[in-house]
Amino acid sequence: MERSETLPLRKIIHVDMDAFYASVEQRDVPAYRGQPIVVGGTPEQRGAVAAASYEARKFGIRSAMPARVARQRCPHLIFVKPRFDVYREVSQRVRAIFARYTELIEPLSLDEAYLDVTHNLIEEPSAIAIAQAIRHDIYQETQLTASAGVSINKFLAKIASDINKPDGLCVIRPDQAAAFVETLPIDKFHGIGRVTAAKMHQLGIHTGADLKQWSETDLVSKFGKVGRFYFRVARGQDDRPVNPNRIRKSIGAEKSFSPDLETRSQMVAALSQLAERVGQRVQEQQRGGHTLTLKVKYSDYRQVTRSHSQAQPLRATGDIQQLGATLLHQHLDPQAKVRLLGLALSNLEPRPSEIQYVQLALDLTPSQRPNSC
Amino acid sequence: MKFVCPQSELNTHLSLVGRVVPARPSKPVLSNVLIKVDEEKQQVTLIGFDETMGIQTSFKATVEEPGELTLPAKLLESIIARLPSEDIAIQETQEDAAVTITSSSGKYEVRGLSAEDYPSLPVIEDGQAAELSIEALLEGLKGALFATSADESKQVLTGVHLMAEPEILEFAATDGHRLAVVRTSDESGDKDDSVAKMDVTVPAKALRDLERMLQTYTSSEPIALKFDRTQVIFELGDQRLTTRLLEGQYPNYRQLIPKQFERQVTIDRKLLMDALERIAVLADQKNNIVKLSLDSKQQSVAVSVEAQEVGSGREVVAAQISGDDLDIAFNVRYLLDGLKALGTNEVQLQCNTATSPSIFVPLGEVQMTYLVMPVQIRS
Repeated sequence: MERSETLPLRKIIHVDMDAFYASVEQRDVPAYRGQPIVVGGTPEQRGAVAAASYEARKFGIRSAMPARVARQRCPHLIFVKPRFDVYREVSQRVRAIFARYTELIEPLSLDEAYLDVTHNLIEEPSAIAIAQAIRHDIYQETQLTASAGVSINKFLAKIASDINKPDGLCVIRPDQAAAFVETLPIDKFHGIGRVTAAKMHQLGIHTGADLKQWSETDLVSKFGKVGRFYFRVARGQDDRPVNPNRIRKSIGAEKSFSPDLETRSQMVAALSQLAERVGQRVQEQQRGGHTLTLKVKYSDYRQVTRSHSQAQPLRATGDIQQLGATLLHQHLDPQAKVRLLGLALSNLEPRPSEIQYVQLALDLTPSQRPNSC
Repeated sequence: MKFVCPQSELNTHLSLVGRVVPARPSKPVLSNVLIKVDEEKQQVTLIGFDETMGIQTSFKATVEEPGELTLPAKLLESIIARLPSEDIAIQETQEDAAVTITSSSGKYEVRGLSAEDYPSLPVIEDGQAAELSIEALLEGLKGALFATSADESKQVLTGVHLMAEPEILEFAATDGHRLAVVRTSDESGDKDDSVAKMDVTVPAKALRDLERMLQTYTSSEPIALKFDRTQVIFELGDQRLTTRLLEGQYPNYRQLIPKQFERQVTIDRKLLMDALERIAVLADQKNNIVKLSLDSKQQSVAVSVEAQEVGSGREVVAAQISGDDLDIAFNVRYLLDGLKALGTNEVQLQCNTATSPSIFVPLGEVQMTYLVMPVQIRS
């Protein structure tokens, strides 16, 4: 458990593009600049918000929010259809910038990545200088802003990047880490969602300092094996390496509900939101999966997963939603209340966007001209 | 038929001929080797033929009775190979088409078939002739054979294209991803203008056998070559290799080689090969892809591999670089094949972009151009 303290300190940067999809749209379409816009589905399509501009966020609009709700909060909100090919391309350019500084890059999505710059390609000892250089390069080359967090592990770097957003840089030094985590409100912890945070509040856990009072055993008994993770991060510890070769095995989304869902129609509505998020990630990743798994956690913490596999890969949001609903109808315990639903695609098809190697060929089509010197 | 010869002599020549004897012949007699015994010349001639190519080879022996017979090639080869290294006697029996093989270890009888049914090797009556120096041929084969295609559906690419013009002999081979062109200046004796503008494509298989025959060819006499539109015959003293030519127009390969390059990298061939050999250990695990990163500021080339789920590697080799930095990826096997064949201490890589043809040329006397198409990294 103390491993992270005995090893030489790492230098980790978390880079997060600011309101990425929305910023790309505002960059490319002058009319959107300074306006509240969201990228994603429209209320008519019963879509969800994939990204919201900072102007939209002032109205309380957040990603994953149903488009209908977003429009209620801001009637003059502009809905923009996503252009994933453009976002992917920009993302590639940003990753190319990272690659100038380090080979240890772990992309989390199109707009986020961890970088390990302990040993870097420009032999710059200061991770802060590298983070600034990267932010500078990104702005110069894409006219987009990014925020960066610098610290000694992924957990702290990720929290740091959120602090001075947008267009900011935040450093959590090793000697500040413990104090920083102690004062951090529990719902700001990455990996602790709204429902878990609410449960922690009930247990009197409001900050990192509160969390630190709990033993590992107690956390595990209250929260399951993720309790171990909570125990470590309460101490600012996170040994997870930056893994440039992380293999994605599934594409999924899940959500806890508080209060529990009771009616079938609530559940179907929730599933369609999840399907929307999964469908969006399928588009980001450019690959679907052959197996869809529905996860249901009942209010008594019983958990069931039910899968369906098919020869044709699932890709479209509508198909995922339909199959998810079918699985729900087939397997749901009608008596029980539901506290969590999840949908995940696995058996993923090979991703075309995954770096693809194409051996180029010579053009050997016969021509009229004979060989001549 | 009756002759006596050293076991080693018969063994060597049988294994040469055995290379063309087909495993699944169209008629039974073709799985045999034809043995012709000439009393006057005191010589034994062996012939193997698979209807596409044939090899004929002769050696001296003490001939007591002339004759002709065919014997099962693999069987005979296996028996002879295991006999003690000393003189052995082969004699036709009284019965039909069989021989006894006598050595100090014992006596074997092997049945064969009459020589009458064995087809004769093709001859060229009205073809053209040429003479090639052994050095030129070996140089050309070493530099081109490896680049031929193994894909039987691209017939004409499974061979090496030979083109002769006065004082020039050019070998070319391509599999569609890389192209090797070797130009040798052929100074083998006098040429009159009637001697051939040669423009033929010879199957790689035949040329591999020819290469072996050349390696054991001790005479300094040039190789005589006869060809027409469908056949070519190489004559090496007492040995002869005949093969059908590949049909179809050979690609106009010269126009595939760019005339100008924006980037030039001069690099020690051995150092680059050593680095690539090590990188290939990982690259071979995945997709054989190696990335070369030209760094003009550092005057170096970084050779790197990213084999997902397996590992990664990176080496840096000093080089003289002109032109802007560039990352370009290749199939590491293609690079190693070419670098092995290039044969000089230093080589030059010339390229334009990461997706256009690159060439390797030797710095030295060898006139070779090895063109490789890069691997495009799409993401």
